[in-house]
Amino acid sequence: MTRVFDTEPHDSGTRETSTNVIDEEIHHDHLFSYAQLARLDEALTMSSRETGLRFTLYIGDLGTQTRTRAEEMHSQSGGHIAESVLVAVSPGQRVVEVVTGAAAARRIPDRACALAVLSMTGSFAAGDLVGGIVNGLRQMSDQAGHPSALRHAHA
Amino acid sequence: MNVAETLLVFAGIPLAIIAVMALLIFVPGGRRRPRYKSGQPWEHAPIWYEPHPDGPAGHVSHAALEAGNPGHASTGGPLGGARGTW
Repeated sequence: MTRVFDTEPHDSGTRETSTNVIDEEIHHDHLFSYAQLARLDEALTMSSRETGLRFTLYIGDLGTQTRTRAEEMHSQSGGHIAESVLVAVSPGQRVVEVVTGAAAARRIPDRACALAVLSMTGSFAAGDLVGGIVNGLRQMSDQAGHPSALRHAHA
Repeated sequence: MNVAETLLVFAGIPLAIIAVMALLIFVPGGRRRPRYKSGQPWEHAPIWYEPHPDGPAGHVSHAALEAGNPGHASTGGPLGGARGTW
């Protein structure tokens, strides 16, 4: 596969324009319900805003070399890569990979990531994908703290 | 009370309650999305969520990223993180 993501082509779209067409009929709730999507969106956005780091979430296959693939994807995740955190969950392979850029890793040490991963795998084993992801994100963003706290002395 | 009334009260009412509960539980069509159970194969297309770019709080939306061109990707320095399996 040369493309990771497949989009449904619009009836009149050509191959070049198929991903640019806005189709009101697309339902985003085929995988997660809208309530679950809202939780994921809130968790990702609030974590990113409060910590100043960029959290992204990937759910899908990670191939045979899961760590390598996750690191590759982390480098393509946009924004400032050094301040980015990728949470990659592969439910089919039952693997979760957390990749932190250099600046992010200073604020979220590997030990904290491992603790978050532990709580996530516990939830996933019980069948709760969204809850596990949301809790893991919260743990990591709590660990990272606010960027302003790093600059000012306690007041 | 005579026999009929006794039967209705002590057998009929519990049975009626059970029947109502069974109707409420089993008749509604069922889930549109199959519940995820650990160990099942994952048939959905991969999806990649990014945080909402700064905007009014409370806006419900998500964005799915495109896989970028690997040619211009740069590494983010010594990478950290963790992995886990279940």
